[in-house]
Amino acid sequence: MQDRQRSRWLPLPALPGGAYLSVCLIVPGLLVFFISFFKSSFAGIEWVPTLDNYRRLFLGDTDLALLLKSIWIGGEVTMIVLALAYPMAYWIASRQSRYRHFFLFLILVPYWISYLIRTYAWYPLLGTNGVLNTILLSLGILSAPSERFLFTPFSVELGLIYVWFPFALIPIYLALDRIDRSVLEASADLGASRFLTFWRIIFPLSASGTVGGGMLVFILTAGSYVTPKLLGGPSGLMFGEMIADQFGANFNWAYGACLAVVFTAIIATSLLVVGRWVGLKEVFFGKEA
Amino acid sequence: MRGVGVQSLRMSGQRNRFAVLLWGAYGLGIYVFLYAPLVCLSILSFNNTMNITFPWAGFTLHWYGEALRDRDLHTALINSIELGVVTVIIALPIGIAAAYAFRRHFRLREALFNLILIALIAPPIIVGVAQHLTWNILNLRSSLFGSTLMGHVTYTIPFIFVLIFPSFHRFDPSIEEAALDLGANRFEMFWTIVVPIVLPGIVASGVFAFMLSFDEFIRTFFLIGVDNTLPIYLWSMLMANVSPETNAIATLMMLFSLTLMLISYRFARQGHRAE
Repeated sequence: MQDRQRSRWLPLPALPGGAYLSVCLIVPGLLVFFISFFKSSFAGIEWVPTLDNYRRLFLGDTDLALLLKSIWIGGEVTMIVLALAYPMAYWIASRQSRYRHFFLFLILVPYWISYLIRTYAWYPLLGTNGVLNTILLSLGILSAPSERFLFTPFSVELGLIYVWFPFALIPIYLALDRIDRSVLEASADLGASRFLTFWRIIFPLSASGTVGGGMLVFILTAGSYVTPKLLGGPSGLMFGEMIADQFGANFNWAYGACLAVVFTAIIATSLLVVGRWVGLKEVFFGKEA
Repeated sequence: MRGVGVQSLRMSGQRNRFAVLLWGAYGLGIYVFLYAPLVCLSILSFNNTMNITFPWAGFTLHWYGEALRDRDLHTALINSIELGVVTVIIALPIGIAAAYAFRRHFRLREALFNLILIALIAPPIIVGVAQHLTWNILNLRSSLFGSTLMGHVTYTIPFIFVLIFPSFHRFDPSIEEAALDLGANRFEMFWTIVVPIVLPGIVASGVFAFMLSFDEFIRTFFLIGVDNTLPIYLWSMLMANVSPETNAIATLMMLFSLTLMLISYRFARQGHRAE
């Protein structure tokens, strides 16, 4: 029976899922790629192939600068989130098992809450009359309320770190949780110090989850729309908003498609590079994959 | 969660008291960071003032009253619930079937795995834009149960797959073979043997998928057209004018999320025990 199954291309139960995702995800993706080689006009798309969109992006200053800025912010936020999430995941994984689930549950609660709300939640804290200013004033650290906390690069990065933190922690935790404890005992029995055990065993074994979580945060941050728009103010424009604008106010679908293609290409390249030394499938589907 | 070890990562031996204290402070700090903004928001929803922030001007339920009287909010809420339910009804069988198929080897297994991986980690804004563009090129009108539903089903299928996949994988194939040997056909076997065992997991992932749909913003933003869902309504509020009513709506949404999460967890734990 096993042999007959092995020779099949696609079993019936997998067909709806495969077909649906192909039609609703891959076909639109290909269409965006196709459209990016045409030009938008007031009447819609002009069906004459051109590289104008790509020329405009790569030969102009502002749009390319915005792309690089978004990637830079993506990298920065990813590093900070990982630096905060790794020790936390380790801390939770080091609890005794009956508390561990509770501590993990507390991390997961924000994951279930809308990120619109979690972004907006910083308004009352960071505003001119906000909680942070009130505290700093009453402590005498500030003499007048500061307007630097909200609608600045600071609030954008803080908001992004806050919103994506659980997305990084969970893959790290799962990787740590999968480590066979007897390996650690063996390491200790053989005389390794706690630090050496961490550095030579725990850290390498959790690297896949860490890199996977980091990639997730990077993708979500570099392409973020909500957080820069809500917390960024006028100078907070990021690439995601620029893409969105081509389909809204600017009404330039072809250029928007080109921006989407370039962004996707950058993400795909970074995933392929990372995927060479980390099994991404294992990160998201577990060991069974 | 699942994993080989039931013991903690911590190794036996003396621990420095100062280090323990430092770790504890760190853990506490992270939880304060995660929860303080949400707790503040909830407290401020009871504030008797026009401002969304402190100073505290006395307790009131006025803003909850405003939220409950808000007609547009009602419509948005009902749209969100209906959309979530329909999304789950469509996406759940598709996701479960795909996960079940992965118990056996087939030639396109790797390709389908990659497709699901792409669906899972593709930047949301790109997916939203691509589906929006496709819908417009086809000259279709954006709508709640057309374009938006299509987007939400695309969004939830991979999550359902990821959540169900492990419980199918742990499931002992000899039970299925026994059922087939005893004369059940494949469908009977699936329906009477497999489904009851993984049912709690199915319910848990169904609730999770509903929540994903219910909270979804960015894809919806590109696909919705003229209708409102709750996140879209909240967004228009955030873009126009915020008031403590916004805080009240946000608090109610958080309570709703928390309730659904607890339900989902109950079923997930039951599922682990059943297996």
